[in-house]
Amino acid sequence: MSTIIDLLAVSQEEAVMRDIAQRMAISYDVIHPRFFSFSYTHVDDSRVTVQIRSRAQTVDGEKSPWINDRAIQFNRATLRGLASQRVMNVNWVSGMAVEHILRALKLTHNFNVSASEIEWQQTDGTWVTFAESYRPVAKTWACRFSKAQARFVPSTSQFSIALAATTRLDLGEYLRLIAAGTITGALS
Amino acid sequence: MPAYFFVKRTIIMSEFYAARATRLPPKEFVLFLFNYASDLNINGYEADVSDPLGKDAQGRTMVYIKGNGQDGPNGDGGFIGKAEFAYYRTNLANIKLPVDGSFWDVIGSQPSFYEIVDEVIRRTQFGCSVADFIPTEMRTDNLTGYVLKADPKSLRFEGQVNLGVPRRANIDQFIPAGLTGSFTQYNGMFDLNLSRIPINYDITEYPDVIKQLVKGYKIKTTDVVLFNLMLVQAAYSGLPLTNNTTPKDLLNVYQAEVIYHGPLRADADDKHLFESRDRVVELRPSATYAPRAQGTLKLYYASETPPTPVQASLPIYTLNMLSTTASGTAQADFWSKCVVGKLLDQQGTAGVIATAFQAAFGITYDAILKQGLKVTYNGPARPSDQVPAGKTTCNVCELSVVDAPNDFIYGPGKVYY
Repeated sequence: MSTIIDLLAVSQEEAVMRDIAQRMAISYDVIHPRFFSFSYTHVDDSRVTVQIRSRAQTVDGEKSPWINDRAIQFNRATLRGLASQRVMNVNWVSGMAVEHILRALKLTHNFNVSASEIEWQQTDGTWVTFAESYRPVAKTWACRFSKAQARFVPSTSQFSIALAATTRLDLGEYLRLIAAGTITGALS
Repeated sequence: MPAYFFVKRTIIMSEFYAARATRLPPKEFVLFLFNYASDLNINGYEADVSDPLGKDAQGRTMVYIKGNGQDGPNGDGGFIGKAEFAYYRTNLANIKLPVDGSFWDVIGSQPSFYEIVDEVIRRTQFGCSVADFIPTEMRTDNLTGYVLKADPKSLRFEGQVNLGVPRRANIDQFIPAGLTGSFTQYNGMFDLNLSRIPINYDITEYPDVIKQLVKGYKIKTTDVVLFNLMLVQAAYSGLPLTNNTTPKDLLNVYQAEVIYHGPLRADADDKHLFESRDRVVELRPSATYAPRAQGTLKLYYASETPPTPVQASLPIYTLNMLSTTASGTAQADFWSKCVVGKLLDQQGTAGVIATAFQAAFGITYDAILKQGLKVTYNGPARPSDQVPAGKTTCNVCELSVVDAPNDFIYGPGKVYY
């Protein structure tokens, strides 16, 4: 199997299982991430241990074909394509949460990361992990990949997200960005 | 000779005959048993078999064998009337199908109903079909096992069988010991790949831009119309677009080159993106000015009114329009010396003209030069020429296109001086 993936264009879990599938020359569908849960243990800057645990069934009720769990050590990549100068612009609208920013990054930059992989630098210089529902107020955020992720050497992974504020909320654009159509309304 | 049979016999066949019977289709299977019990040799062409009528006291399934009056294969006899016939159907519970979950090893955990029946046929060699069973889809959340049930109308089967649930493999044993994952091999795959960015421009409403983008053309900083067009739509998509002579990390369209301009290609372009867009311009970013960009950028448009040789003409240039440059006299001197047959290109003296044209007309001149211009007339303005306003006498240098790639053919252009 010679499939080369764009490491940033897929989720962390997909990247892990695609790499294993490629090394074992099996179909990725056989060990699809939906059958497993994942946890990550930092070994050192360049290595991480990925624990794969079989689920009894998927979130959709599908029975998993797997049992037991397995730990696999991964060598992290140096994120040389995202130098620290890399600034990724995201059109920002009032009330946009971390999850929406990351979804916009995926749509516009092919940058597929989850909030749990990223640390954000606060004004006092400390690094924190924000929940997906956190709503940033700063316009530019320094970010880096944390030690609790698999893909990238943390010390080389800093980048910035610039929130380009819009003066008026474009509802069409906003809905497109959040994509999932989760906005609901009710009259009471 | 017509015949009428009423047969109720318990069938006891040798294993050889029983094995032979299992491979027959349902109707032929029943006729095989009937023939065996009645010492006849009726085939499916001569008789029909009814749906099961019910069971007799011994639990045998009863059917009618109906002669259909057709002549036999040799043109003789045939059968009419009907015979009641009783036989034992195969109970699914008694067939040899694995119930430990290994049934699913070949067809996976989410096969369709048809795939399940195919696997039953493959494993049992029974001559059956999907019509012998009640259609039931595999539900992987059914932890009590998949139950295959015989259709009550099946001539072949009755009862049901639990095929178990797919076996669950041990992921710890499945992955080889000592396997180490690595993402280092993917280094260099992180760069911006334009091909996968959900951005596609529609430039249908900008015919001047379309004419300009011939194969080989490279975007310049003076391409204001084109860049603004791209920028507006880039802003809509959130793509950080620049047109800058300094190399940029992200998408910088400066010196991006047109590598294809023509009809949509079946294997390369998205025909479903815009229904009416049938042509595409593909641009490859400069390796120097957009070193991180991979892939290409595509501009789509519709060609409802494609340019034709007579409709699309070169702009009419006058030195009045070039007078903003400091070399107006030099320009007139240049044009007056353009003899018929002279080929203009971007080299030598014509490069000077290109500079002046670019200053006056911006985006068009370089595109035209790419196609090569040839002097076809140079002299006093003729009745067919349009002398610019304010001039009583005027010379004209008529230029025609030498090479017209990608269906862009222009009529003659005229430079007045």
